[in-house]
Amino acid sequence: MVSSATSEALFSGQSVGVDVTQIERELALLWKNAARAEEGKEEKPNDGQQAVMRACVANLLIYVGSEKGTGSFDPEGVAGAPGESASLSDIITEIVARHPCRVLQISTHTRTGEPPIKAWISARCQLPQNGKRLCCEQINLSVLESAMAEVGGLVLPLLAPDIPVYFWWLTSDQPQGRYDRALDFSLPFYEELAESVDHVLFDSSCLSHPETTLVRLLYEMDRRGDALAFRDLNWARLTPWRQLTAQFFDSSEMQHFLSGLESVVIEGEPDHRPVSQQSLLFAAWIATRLGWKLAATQKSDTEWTIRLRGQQEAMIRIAGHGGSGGEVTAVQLNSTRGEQHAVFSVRRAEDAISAITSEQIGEAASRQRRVRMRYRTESRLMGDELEVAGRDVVYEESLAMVVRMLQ
Amino acid sequence: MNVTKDHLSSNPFREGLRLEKTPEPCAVVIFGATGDLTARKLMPALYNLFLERLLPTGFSVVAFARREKTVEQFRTEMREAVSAHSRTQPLQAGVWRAFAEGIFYHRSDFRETEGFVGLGQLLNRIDRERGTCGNRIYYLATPPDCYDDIITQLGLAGLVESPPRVQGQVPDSGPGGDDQTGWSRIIVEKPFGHDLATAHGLNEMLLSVFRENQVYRIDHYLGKETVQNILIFRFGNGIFEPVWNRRYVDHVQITAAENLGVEGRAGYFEPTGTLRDMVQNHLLQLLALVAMEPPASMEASAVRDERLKVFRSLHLPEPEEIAQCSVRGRYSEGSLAGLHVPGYREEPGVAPDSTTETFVAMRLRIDNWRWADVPFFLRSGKRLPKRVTEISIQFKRPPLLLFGEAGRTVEPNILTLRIQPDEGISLKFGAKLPGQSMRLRSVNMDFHYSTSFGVQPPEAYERLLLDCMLGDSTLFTRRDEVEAEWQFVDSVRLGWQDTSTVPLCEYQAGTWGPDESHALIARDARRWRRL
Ligand SMILES: NC(=O)c1ccc[n+]([C@@H]2O[C@H](COP(=O)([O-])OP(=O)(O)OC[C@H]3O[C@@H](n4cnc5c(N)ncnc54)[C@H](OP(=O)(O)O)[C@@H]3O)[C@@H](O)[C@H]2O)c1
Repeated sequence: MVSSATSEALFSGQSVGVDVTQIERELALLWKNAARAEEGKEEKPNDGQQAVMRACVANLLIYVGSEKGTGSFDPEGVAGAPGESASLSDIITEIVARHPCRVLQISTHTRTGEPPIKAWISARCQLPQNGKRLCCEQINLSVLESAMAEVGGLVLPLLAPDIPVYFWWLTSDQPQGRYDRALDFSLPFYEELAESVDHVLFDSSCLSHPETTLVRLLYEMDRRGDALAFRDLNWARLTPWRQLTAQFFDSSEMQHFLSGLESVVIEGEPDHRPVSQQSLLFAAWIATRLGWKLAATQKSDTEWTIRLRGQQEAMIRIAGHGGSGGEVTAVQLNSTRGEQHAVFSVRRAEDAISAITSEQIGEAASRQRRVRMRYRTESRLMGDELEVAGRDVVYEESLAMVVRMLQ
Repeated sequence: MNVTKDHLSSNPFREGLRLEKTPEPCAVVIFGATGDLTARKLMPALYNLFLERLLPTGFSVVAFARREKTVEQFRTEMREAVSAHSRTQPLQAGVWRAFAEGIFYHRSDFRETEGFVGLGQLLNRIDRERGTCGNRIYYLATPPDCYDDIITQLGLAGLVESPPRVQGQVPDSGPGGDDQTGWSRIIVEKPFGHDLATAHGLNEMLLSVFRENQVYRIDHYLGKETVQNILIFRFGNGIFEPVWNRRYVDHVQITAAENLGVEGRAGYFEPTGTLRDMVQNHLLQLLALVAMEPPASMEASAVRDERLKVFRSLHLPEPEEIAQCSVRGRYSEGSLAGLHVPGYREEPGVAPDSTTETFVAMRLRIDNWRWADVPFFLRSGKRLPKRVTEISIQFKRPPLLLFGEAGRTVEPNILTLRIQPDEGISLKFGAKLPGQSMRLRSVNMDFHYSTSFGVQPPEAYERLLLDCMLGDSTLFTRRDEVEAEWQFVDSVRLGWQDTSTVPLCEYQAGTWGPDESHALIARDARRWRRL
């Protein structure tokens, strides 16, 4: 049971193993101890402890798949519980700093000698604000693969009521364990939880078999309709690219160049494949926004040429080279209206924190500017995604186009 | 082409982009660019907009001031100013360089005609070289006595009707011949006039050169996130509006307290005073947002119509009423945060026989169906114990007190909208104290922006500059609003003319104003909230 001493340990970042059937009770005790400590503090204000404030605006369910390494867990350790790498722990800390959440993390293992489900609780606290520490709760569940069917029934009552539920699917599709396939909708607890979840978050840059996974995803999106929104971090990474591309055509006179768009060249780093998912999504976004239909796709090792039909014939060429992060690095749009030729481009700058946009109309000198384009970390992306609600129809249309391009 | 938002919606790439809008390329001409406002607020705001990719390619700034300076010198000074005052830190060198390329310095006195001819030439060159398409914003960041010269000269130099767009930039004329020229807009800082007559004169002057839809009168309070949130709170939730009226509301208090004194700005503050400096604009605008009816839409004209209706419903106190409904004060020496501070009359630049008020408390009446008989109490002052701006809506007590003695300890429900600092909303209600006996206590249900949204909101000036570039005037004050505000303030000043009726009461620096302020609200059997 959580004693006052363990409470203090929890608030300073350690996790404590608890009985699976008593999780909610133990958490309640944790807060009660905190409140008592605060009362005590009013009497002796300078005892060096800060008051604790509980905050929660959403539930964040994180499914991490099979535990790495042995999974033996040191409850006195500061960083993370089983299945939680130090980096994931940092990411969660940053996310809850922006969006105070109740975090529920689920991992799987195959060690049969242990109880089928083990639980730990911990608190994630931010630096004092107005003299109070702002804390969120985290529950980690370590589940034997054969006990996965029990997870739904265990997790549902642990969700903080009447606030959004985000489900972060962190597995890639290079399985170690039985349930490591990303977006595997046959996961034993998925059906049961899906009813209570509002958003599924995942990262399509981690997919090594996008042809099959994305088809599954499209089907699931269609099945769930408005009840469940799917959000792709890889799509979120494209937001600045979409924003800068859109900016070229905000004024009415520049919009005339859209109907004369003939070719688009996208350059990007490879991910699992030479032509990355992100580059494909970007190409598909441009095509769907302009109402272009897919005519033919020509694929070579490092380059795809996609022919499309809109008001006129158009072409998108995607070239993969450079690092291995899967990120788009440049885009160029070429258009001709009457006699006038125009080139619009955005290119990531070498300093890795900015991009250079350029527009050249006819004979006039090109106009360039440098704007901020920072690499957005996973926690930053997650934080941004947690700010929006509902389906993203533009993404869904782009994804459907990617699937057509892949086939 | 005036309403640029229309064009945004016809850009297919914008669909579904939770974006932030980007305006058309334009040049912002800052008059008085060597001043304090430019260094502390305007440049940092423009830089942050640029950094967030919210400004278009070709965006340019022309600094207009009379000191001899090279453009390089000015850029270096601005770099230092932005490094010191920007909300994002540290300054990003590459982005700054790109932003600074668009900054120009134009030296001239506001009275020199040639200076404005030169300005026209420079703007034309920027149009050609940077593609600003004849779109201009003129920002008056100067003392108000320069406005006349600047506006007249702008008109004389033909800088208000923009020149035709440079040939070759427009591939094809868009809908409406208007597209051939850019737009020009003017931003006017506070104070807007000194009383109704001067505000009216300034409006006439402005409107002899500009059209009303080109004029953007700044009240930077309206650009604050928490102030914008008042409308969201009221009209985006279903449960508050039904009780937001005389049937349930007992009274409303609006406080804007500063702990600072005049801080070297005596030259500005001496002839102004708190009534003009704070009440005429900021406090009355807060009052309007709390008291207004739901607008027909969130369009600028609809929102401003409703704010205006509140000002028009304000009861204008007769001179004989003024002593009953207003208090003015001046701080004397005292101590604040453990430091001894001088009295107002001892501050540098303040006349030893000054009669300027540094504190105002008022009781206002809004004569309309929603608010008849609900008093609105306003107070604002310098050298009060802390910096806090808040609006509190105090609800009536329940019709019947069921809990006898126990119920008496419960205060009425209070809804507080905290504007700054520690932005948030809280609701006070009664709850039972744990135990066998029936004892009640008031508790607070609190919402803090900072604990629910861990992001830093943009500065008010960022929002306002961007809105002006986009042609959205919702958060700016319209001519009739500003004149209605002055009409009210003038009626108070008229009553104050006779110093014996409403004397200037002293209060010790570091206290919540003169005793008369407490007496003012006590006459209505209410009391100021302890903040
Ligand atoms: N500072 C603030 O925080 C603040 C806040 C709200 C509103 N405001 C308002 O914003 C406006 C500007 O404030 P400020 O504090 O920036 O003023 P400031 O520091 O006094 O600056 C005045 C500027 O005007 C220029 N100027 C004055 N007379 C001129 C002339 N005849 N020809 C050319 N240039 C002339 C000055 O140029 P020189 O350098 O050559 O003298 C200087 O650049 C005022 O209306 C003020 O009430 C200021």
